[in-house]
Order: sequence, then C-alpha cells, then structure tokens
Amino acid sequence: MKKRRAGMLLAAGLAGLLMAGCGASTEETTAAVESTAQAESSETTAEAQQEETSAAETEDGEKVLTIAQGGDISTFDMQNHNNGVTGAVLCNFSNGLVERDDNNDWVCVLAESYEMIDDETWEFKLRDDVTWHNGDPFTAEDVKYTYERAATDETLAENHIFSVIKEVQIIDDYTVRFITDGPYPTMLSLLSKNGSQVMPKKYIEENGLDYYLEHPIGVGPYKFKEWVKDSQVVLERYDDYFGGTPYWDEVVFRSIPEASTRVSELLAGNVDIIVNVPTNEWERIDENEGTEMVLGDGTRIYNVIMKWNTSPTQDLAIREAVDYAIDTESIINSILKGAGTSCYTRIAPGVFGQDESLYNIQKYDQEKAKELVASSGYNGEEIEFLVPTGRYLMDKEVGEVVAAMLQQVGLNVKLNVLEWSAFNSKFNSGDFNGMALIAYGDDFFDASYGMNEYRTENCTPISCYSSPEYDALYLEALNNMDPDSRSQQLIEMQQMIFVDECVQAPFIHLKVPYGVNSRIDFNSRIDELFFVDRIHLK
Amino acid sequence: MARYLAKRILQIIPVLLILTFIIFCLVYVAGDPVALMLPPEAGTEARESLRAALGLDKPFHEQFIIYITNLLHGDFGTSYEYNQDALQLVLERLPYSAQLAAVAFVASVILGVVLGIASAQYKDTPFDLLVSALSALGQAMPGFWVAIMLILLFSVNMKVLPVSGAGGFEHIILPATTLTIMTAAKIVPLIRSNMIEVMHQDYIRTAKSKGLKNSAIVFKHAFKNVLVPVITIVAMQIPTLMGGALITETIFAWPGLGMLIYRGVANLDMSVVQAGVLMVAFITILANLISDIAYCLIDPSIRY
Repeated sequence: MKKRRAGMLLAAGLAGLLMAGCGASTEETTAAVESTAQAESSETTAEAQQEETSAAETEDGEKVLTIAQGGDISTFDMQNHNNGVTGAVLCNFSNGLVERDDNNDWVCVLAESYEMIDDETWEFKLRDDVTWHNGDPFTAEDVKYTYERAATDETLAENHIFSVIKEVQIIDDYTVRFITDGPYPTMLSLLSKNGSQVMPKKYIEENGLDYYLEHPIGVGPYKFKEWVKDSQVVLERYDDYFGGTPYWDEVVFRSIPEASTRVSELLAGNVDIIVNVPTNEWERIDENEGTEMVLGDGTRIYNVIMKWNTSPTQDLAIREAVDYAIDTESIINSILKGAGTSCYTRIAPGVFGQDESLYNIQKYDQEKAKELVASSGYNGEEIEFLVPTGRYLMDKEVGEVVAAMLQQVGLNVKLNVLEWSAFNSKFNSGDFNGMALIAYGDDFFDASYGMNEYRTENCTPISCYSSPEYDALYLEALNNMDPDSRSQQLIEMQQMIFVDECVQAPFIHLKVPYGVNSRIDFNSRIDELFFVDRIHLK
Repeated sequence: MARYLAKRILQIIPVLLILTFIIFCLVYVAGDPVALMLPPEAGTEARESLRAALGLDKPFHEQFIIYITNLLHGDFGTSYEYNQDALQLVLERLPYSAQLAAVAFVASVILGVVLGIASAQYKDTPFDLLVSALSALGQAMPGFWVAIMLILLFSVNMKVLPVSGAGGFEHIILPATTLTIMTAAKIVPLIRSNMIEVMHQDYIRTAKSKGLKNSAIVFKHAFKNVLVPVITIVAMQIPTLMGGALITETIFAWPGLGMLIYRGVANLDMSVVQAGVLMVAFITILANLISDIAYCLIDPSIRY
C-alpha cells in the first residue's frame, strides 16, 4: 500500500517538479527535512542518554552506529563504482545536487532550486553555505568538474549513464547549467542516483586523484576517518555540515562477507544493522531478545531470461508457457518466507512508469502452460537453465524450484548452478543454451533505464529482441518532456515486452531482509542505501 | 653453501616467470571483467567502450607483452575494483596475513610437537588413543564449521571474544585457533610416527643401554632426527597459512591476502589476482629455501 502511494506520489509530483523545483520552497523543504531530523535527534539523544550503554554507544557516551554489509566499498571515487555497498557509505560522505528522501521523492540538497530552461538545458542554483571537509567552499566549479569528468572519462564505471551530459556551464559561482545531448526528461533521476555525489575540484587538482582516494573529502554530514580495506570504513561527524550537526558521532561500515558471521555479530550486540540475512536465520534473529528482522522494499525482481535467437525459447508459445508454469505464490510462501510479491514486469513499484496492472497478480496456470507447450511443436530438446548461487535472496533454491515447475509442464530443463563470477561470465557472453535466472535492480527509478535493454541497438548474445515499433516508442519516451504521456509510453513498452512478446519472464519482486538491533529506529529505503542521519536510537 | 644459495635464489626468477605466464593465462580465460564491472542493464556500447578504455580489447599476446613489460618495471597493474596499484593492495594485506599466520604457526608447531612426542612416548596408552582420535577429528572437521562453532561458543554465548574483524590481539584468537586446530592436526600424527620409527633405531637402543635419561634420549637424540621430515611439512604450512587461509579469513572478516585474492577472483580483478598469487608463490619458494637451509643446519650429513 505504502509502495503504491510512493509510486503515485512520484508520478504526480513529477509533473509539478519537472519544470522547476524547490524554488522558494526549496529551503523550506530541505530545512523541514533537516529540522525534523534534528528535532527527533535531540529528543532521541535525551532518551538515549538515559539508556544504559548499548551497541550504538561507546563507554564514553559517544553515539556510534555500526552497519555490517556483505562486502567492502571499492573506492571513494563517486563516479567509479556501480555497487550499492559503496553507495551506502558514500551517500553519507558527500551529497548530490538533488537527492531522494525516504519516500523516494526528490529534495534539493546542494541545489537551492532548479529550473528547466529548455528541453536540453537545466539550471541549478547552488547553496552558498556548503563547505568541503577541509573547509574549502563548495562552488559551481566543483559541479562542472564532477559531471563533465563523469560524462567524458570512459574508464569510469558510471560514464555510460552520465555521457548524456554535453556540457556544464558556469553562470556564476553558485549557478550552473547542464546542457544535455537532446531532450532529457530524466535529469533529476540521473543527478539523484547512486554515484552522483560531487567531487572536490580544487583539492584533486592540487593533490592528484591518488591522494584524494587515500585522503578523501566530501561535503556530506560525515567525514573520512579510516578505511581498513576488506575490514571497515569509519566516518566521523562533520561539525560544519550545512544541514546542521549530524546525529551520530561516528559511523562504522564493516565488511563481513559471511552471512552467518554477520548474524553472530548482530546477536552478540556488536553491530546495529546487518544486510542480506538468509531466510533460515530470520527466526533466530526475531526470537533473540534485542534483535529483530525488518523486511524492506527494494527494486529487485526475479526474472527468467530466455534466449531470443536460439533454443526452443525462440518460440513465443514456449516463452508464454514459462510465464504460466511458475507458481509464484508457493515460491514466495515456502522458499522466501513471504518476502516477495508476484510481479510480471521487471519494473518495480516506486520506479517511474511502472505498469501497475502487472503487479500483485497471479498468472499461474499449469494446464494452460502444458497446452502451450503441446501446441508449440516442442519435441523435448534440452533447455539449459543457468542459475547463480549466493548472489540474490535464496537464488539457488528459487532456481531449483522454477526448474522443477518447468519440467512439470513438459519442458526438458537442465539446471546449471554456478557461483556468481562464473555465472556472470557465462551469462554475459551468452554461452548458454536456453534460460537464465537473474534479479534485476534499478537505482535510476525511471522505467526507461530497465527497458533500454530491449532496443535493437542493445542486441546482445543473450537477448536480441528487435522491433522497429518498440525502438520508435522508446525514443519517443526518452525525449518526451511530458510526464503523463511518457508514463503511458513506458507502460505500453512493458505490455509489449512482458505480455505480448514474453521476451523475458519476470515473476517475483523481492523484499530486502535486514537484521536490526531493537534499540535502532530503522526505516529501510527502496534504493537500499543507508542515509545514517535518518537512522536514530529509539 | 654460498654458491648453493646463489643458485637457489637465481632459480626463483624462471620459476616466477613461468608462474606469471600460467597465472596470466588462467585469469585471461576466467572471463570478462567488464561483465562484472557494469550492471546487467548497461548496454553493449558502454561495455565495448569500457573494454577499449581498459585495453581489454587487445589480443592475448599484446595484453601479455604489456603486462610483462610493466611487471619488469615494477608495475603490477591497477586494480579495476579499487583503482589502485595492485602491489600496494597486496602489501597492505600482508601484515594482517603475516600476523595471523605467525600466531597460528607458532601455536600449531608447539602443540603439534608436544602432543606428537608425548603420544609417541605413551604409544598405545589411552592418552595416545585420545590424541590420535583428536588429530583425526581435527583433520576431518571442515574449517568453516570449526570457525562457526568457535564464534557461537566464545562470542555469541559467552561473549568473551570478538566475533570478527581485525583490531587488538583478542581479534586474532579465534581465527588463529581455527587455523591451529587444522594445522596441528596434520603435524601431530607425522611427528608421532616419525618419533616411533626413530625410537626403534639402533642408536637409540645404544643410548638406552648406556643408561641415558629418557628425556635426554628423546630430545637430544631422537627429536633431532625427527626434525628433518617435520621441517618439510611445517614449512609447507607457511604459504597455506599466508595465502590459503581463505575460508578462515572470510568467516572472520579478517582483511588478509586470502580474502583479497578471493575477492579478486570473484570480481575478475586480474591485476590483484596476479599480484596476490605471485606474492604467495614467492612466499612458498622462500619457505622452501628456508627449510632447505634449516636441513643443513640441523643435519650436518646434508650438504649441497
């Protein structure tokens, strides 16, 4: 229900926000967010002081938040990573011009206001009270440096998405204009995505990028203290933060690859929040005094990828049969312990342009699937089903059950379970004959990002769908500045891909399982990042 | 001896070169790192341009020549993941691995030698049977299971030791114990059987008939002769402890070389894997060399 509301709010809000944003109300909005946070923070601080020393508090009364993720961050180069683990740390260290709040709505952060001058030009007025952690003022120069570098340096992991920016013009010290390559309605999605935080121009030019990577500075609420690679990143409070005094004194992001160790750390009271808790540990965490499970929303959706140009899956009837053969409810209830929703589009709720008619419905019809297989002329050729292990929630188990369900409707499916890097190599090179299981996520929050894959020009050995009609529709949506009709176009695209042509078979939208110390008031975010100033002591 | 040493040290160079080639080939065929660096949603064009920017579009021999040329200049390449010098990353981890390996090594040698000699001395007594059973158990128990049990007992239930991570000495106790259990279990039966064999030799019988004290026979005469084969197996534990303590390092989130190589393999981060494996190879060769020198010192009959 909450998710639906967020999606609708986003769509409705977009229309109003698109042309100009924040403006006079910008400061109020930001200030409101910040002042609420601070008001809450002072209350909780008082309460917290009465509590006995907790995991979140050291003996000398310092407030320390410890979060255990499954891996280490890879860099402090904001635009050279594409992983959530790194993003979850960096969003506390530096900010973007606009960001998304906990309801997934845009709020101005480093920007004071923004305005679309024409289809290809966006103007941002910047706050003039922002400082880097070394005391230097944050100016338009930093913005130009950050985004032009991201747009032009092809070795950067985020280059492929920022390359739409043609130029960043400096109007004055606190005003910039982004010139895009053609009309670009998703500018705010781009500037608020994971990996869009600003980098310090002067500091990097004076000291070099290597020095910056060892001694990074940002403009965010927490500054760099220590990074022991593959062990932990420690950030500490930045007292001159433009948004007011940050809530925690210190934030520790630990890297603990083994899930059972993360659970042990939580049970021992050493960490406050852990990620990716396997379903078999949920009961132990819930039954233990002082810890609890939180199932948050995310954007990952399990999807059966079917090869388009080889193997029996090039037959529409077979692809349709896959859709009907998977009993999503029983997978959700038995393997995922309720942490999922049936879903027949790869676009999750909360992402602009999602087709709600394909969400939370059941298509399972074993008889129909059997009929489709029988009518297709399929004569029992082997279909490989590539499944990763240890990557997504219960991936191997889900893959095994899906394979069994496909066998039940008469498809000769051969399961091939592989560890992630081996899976990924095989998957990306298209070196498999039939199908693969993958769970796509989306940190762009616009359906155009996920639906890009089905254009003729993105034909890969995995999936080579090609339809001039689809390509034309995609281009129209890509350049369409009217949110209402654009949303309709994106929905139409999902109908073509997932209903008419069954190019892929999305089937379950996953929840995100966190283990949390009961002293912590934690609301998960749909982008799975941790904005730690919004996480408080109860 | 000096000539022998010089020869042995020079031998390291071709060995490392051959190893470099093998590692390069293995990493090359392992797959496309760009596939892991970009999200599945990224388009073909983005993949191609990143591949070209990283020089991965060049043919195999060109990539190898570039790599080996850089290597000779002391440049081990840049980690794709960390965007940092690969050798520097390896050197950062080395102290962590060395600490853990040193503690586990010393503990397992002491434990292995003491229990090995004692059980040989009390052969076929209940004590000997117990030690044999424990060492069989130690070898049979999977390392990850031992680690998890230790965590549950000492960290979650008794709350006396930290669960994971690196920090003070208390952090090293559980991972080192895990490694010690596994390593000592291998050393104990070896010392025991060698000791029993030596104790049946003629010179021991002579020593006994001379009326020497049992402790003098064991430590002065027998043990010295047990040492040569023991040193070989003990020395071979060093590289295993340094680079191969992978599962233990992963479970205890210990930021050592094993974990770095594991992550490198998982992300197809070629330079890191190459630098890491070369480092372990170098340590292995060094450990062999040291054990060979130790033979000479212990047994004057061995001459090179």
